[in-house]
Amino acid sequence: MTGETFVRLAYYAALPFIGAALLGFLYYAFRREPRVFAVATICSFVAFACLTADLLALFALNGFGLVAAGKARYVLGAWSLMLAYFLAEYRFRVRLLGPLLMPAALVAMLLSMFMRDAPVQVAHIPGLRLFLVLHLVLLFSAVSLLFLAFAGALLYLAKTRALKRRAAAALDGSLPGLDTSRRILVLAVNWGFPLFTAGLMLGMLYAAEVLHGAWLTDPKILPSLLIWVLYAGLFALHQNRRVSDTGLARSVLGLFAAVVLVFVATTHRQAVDQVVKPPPAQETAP
Amino acid sequence: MNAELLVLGLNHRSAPVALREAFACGGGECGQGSLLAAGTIEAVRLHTCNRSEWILLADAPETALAAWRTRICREGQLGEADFQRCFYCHRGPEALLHLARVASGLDSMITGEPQILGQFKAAFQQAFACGAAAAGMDRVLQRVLRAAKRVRSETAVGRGAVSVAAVAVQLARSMFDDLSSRRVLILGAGEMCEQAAAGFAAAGAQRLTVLNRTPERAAELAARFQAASGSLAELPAALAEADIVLSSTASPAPLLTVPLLCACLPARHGCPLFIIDIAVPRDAEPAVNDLDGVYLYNIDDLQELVAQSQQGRQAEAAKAEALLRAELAAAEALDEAELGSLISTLRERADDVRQQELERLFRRHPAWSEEDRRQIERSVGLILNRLMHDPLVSLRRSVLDDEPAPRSLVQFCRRFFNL
Repeated sequence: MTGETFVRLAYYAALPFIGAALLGFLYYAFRREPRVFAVATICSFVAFACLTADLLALFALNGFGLVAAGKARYVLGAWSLMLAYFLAEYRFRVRLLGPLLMPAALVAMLLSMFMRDAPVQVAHIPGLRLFLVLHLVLLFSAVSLLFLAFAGALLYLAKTRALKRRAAAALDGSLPGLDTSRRILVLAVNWGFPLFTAGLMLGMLYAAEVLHGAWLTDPKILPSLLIWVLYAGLFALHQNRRVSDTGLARSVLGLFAAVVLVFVATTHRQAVDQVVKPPPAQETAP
Repeated sequence: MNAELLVLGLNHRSAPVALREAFACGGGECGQGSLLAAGTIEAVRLHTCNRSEWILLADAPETALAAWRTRICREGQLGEADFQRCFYCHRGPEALLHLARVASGLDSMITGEPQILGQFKAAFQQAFACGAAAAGMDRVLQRVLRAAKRVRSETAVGRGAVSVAAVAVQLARSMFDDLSSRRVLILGAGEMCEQAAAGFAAAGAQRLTVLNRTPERAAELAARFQAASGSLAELPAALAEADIVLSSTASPAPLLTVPLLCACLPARHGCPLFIIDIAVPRDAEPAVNDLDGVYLYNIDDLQELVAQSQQGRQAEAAKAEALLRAELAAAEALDEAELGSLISTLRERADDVRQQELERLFRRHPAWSEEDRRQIERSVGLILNRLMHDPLVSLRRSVLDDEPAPRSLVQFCRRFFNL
């Protein structure tokens, strides 16, 4: 079996398992069947293993250039989301994180099917290549934490609503405790913002060095800065205790919506660009 | 010896409290040792506040029932008519199912209550300790416990609180993961406050403060829970620090008003405040619940949650019942299947040995006629069957009727015969 075949095999093997895991988690969310949750967890582990194998093989074959590129970027996104889910589930034991995070992983995988393998320009200087690696690691971690914050915010607001309305969900254990949801939310925001900031800075330094002035025309740059400003404001308010937990949860939902909008807009723009002007062949890593 | 399981008893459904209390006995002094009566080989007496039951293993069931009827009527000073009206009797598999229902709380006044399992085990332990119960009852106990544990873990029959104090603690737990680090403020020093304080203390709350109009009474209650105390004048300062407020004062006007809480909230930095108001008239203004981060539950809200929990438990009871039946039937079937497998393996081994020895014998004596050979084969077969009959019958009886650990016996036999 060639490396290319292995990459494709691992990629396509992951898809049905992610789908099965998502269905299992959704079923669990509505029917509370522990065995279904166990099966869904096994499926998610298998999918994660497939994605890990896919990314490692891709890296072995093409280096960072292709891992950072179109199709692989979404696979990396799905992989980091699943990793964030596993860590959060292990730390907080909140089973409802599965149905909230796994759809995003599936969407990332589905989007990756429509993307081309377009390698990005990789610096020849090894030190700068490390910048690219760190940029990717930090940004994907930050985005995964933002998804986790979104899940925590949803759970927090749902629990708040149930408590305020004296609904059965306030007591019957179908939602995690208010403290737990709050800890997920706060931890994700406290770690997410510094990682996002560091990731953006490294990305800009790298782009300035490798792409010189051209990076400013990248459609991701300005929206990313806008997101950063919003995130920074929220982070500062939270750190100075100027916003209540409910306010933080609502703001995280808003921030998440903004990120999704930016993502949709930039993806659409890139797709249009690709149709109108096919990209020239780019230099790949040596 | 083929003993039958019998359960004789009365409970909150079958008998009024006046009759139930006639059989009340304190703690473990129920005379488990004096339980053995005619026809009974092992016996356990189970007594809780809502039931008295005699669990019997009888080698002569009819004799045992008659003897126990006389004995119970004498103990409770009952007439025959009262006995017939208020006592129930379960036999064989029905008795086992009844015990499983009792142990899993399905037969309790509050469906799914967990205390019964402990009481059930304690009754058997007492009977074992004083020699009234032995291996047969141990087998019954193990089967019942296995089924009851499955009901606890696989159904929601024990979920949800079913008293106001328990609901208050459960709600607090659904908000705060760890009550030990949370400040619980108790307003009032009456009986309800005491119950709630006991509930929170049992749930791990360590930082309790009691405030009352009369500080002396607050100090009295606080001393019981190693809590701080004070007068209601300290309420604004205490509210700024509290996470949970339980209020049950006799104040005619609300103590927890919107302006008071609005003044306290900035100092709380958005931390949630859970207020449980069980006072009538209410101590907290209803509009307090509209404030961000403040969650107010009054006595009606708690009662409503109690009712929901009870309904939920009732709905789960049918599922639990089916699970119990399946578990008991599966245990029975498993014992039979293992026994069947052992017997057939043993027979096959015996047949193999017989066949090999006969072949060797016939090879050494080729002159024997066909008729002689048939006679010899038949005789050896008969000897083997007669030799194996009694051990196999005993084994079957031991496994299916008497043996406390049938699977251990089956395993022992396999080891013994090298199967």
